[in-house]
Amino acid sequence: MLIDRIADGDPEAWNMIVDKYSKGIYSLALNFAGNADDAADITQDIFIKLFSNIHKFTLDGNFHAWLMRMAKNHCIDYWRKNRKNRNVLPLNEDIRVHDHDEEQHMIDRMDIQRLRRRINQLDPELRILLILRDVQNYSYQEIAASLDLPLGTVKSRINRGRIKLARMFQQGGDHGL
Amino acid sequence: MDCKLVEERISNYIENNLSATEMDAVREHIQSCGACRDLLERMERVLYLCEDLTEEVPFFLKNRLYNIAETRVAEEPAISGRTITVLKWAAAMVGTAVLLLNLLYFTSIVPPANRFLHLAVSRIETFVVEAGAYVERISESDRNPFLGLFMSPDKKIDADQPFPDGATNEGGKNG
Repeated sequence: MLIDRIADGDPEAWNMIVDKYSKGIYSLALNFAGNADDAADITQDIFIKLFSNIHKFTLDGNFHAWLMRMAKNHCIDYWRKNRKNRNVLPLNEDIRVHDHDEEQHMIDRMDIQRLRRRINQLDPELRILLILRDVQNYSYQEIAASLDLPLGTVKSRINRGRIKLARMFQQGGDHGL
Repeated sequence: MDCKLVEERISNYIENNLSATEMDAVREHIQSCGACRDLLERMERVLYLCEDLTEEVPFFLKNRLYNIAETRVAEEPAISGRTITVLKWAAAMVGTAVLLLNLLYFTSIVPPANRFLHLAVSRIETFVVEAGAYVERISESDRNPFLGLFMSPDKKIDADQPFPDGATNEGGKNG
């Protein structure tokens, strides 16, 4: 079992966990924090926490759900500690865009930047739910199981978050944010 | 169907998770309501852009994550977490026992225990006094055992002759 091997100090097993889950955790952290530096710190902290607590994971549990709960709690702790000096820095320039013409690329690029800022203004609980559903494409059932929430609550909160985000987001507008 | 009901169903409408009747009702409302149509368009745009919000983990971060296992194993303390927990519990139990003994000794909540503790303390006091007297007797028998340890037997100070080498008290003063 992979978890046992990590607990026994097997670096190969640990690397497999990093390969499998780092992209999802980094994506969650990046869209939650809104800047790459904080996202790297959050991701690293979550993996340190994972390594330190891996012996507490019970084998009959769902590892992915357990990790997601840990990541969500860490993101919210981070938000609580840093809400007074939030700093949404410019994001990486190499954001992927859909394959349209150059003008459309530019509009998409600008809209993505704006969207990240808007996501960052959402309530942290809503933010995490939207990232899991709309960025990482988890099903409602997976999110409900991972975060230990009723399915109806997850659906209604995601709908509420989308409405809020859509109202905050103005295509080609909201300068100065 | 009014705007509030459409808002409640808008995610399910986009994801095609409504019954055919509800889908038709929402569609009909949206065609006639500018605000709801605007909300739908914006939401679809947001969801379209969300697909591009994932990024690869930067190379430097991936390396840091790989290194966590080695770094953390090297930093692990010599005493395991379980040993520390046992030691903490032992310290807590000793502390509690000391407090309890104090309580029983200085109060009469449980008179037999109080009497027993006083008896035990008086026995310990007696033992300490007797041990002290014994040590004193040994020291007196050899007067100055510490000097004797560092001097050769022929140069040992004679306890009855405080001024060896024939010197007198007066001579010492004059000399």
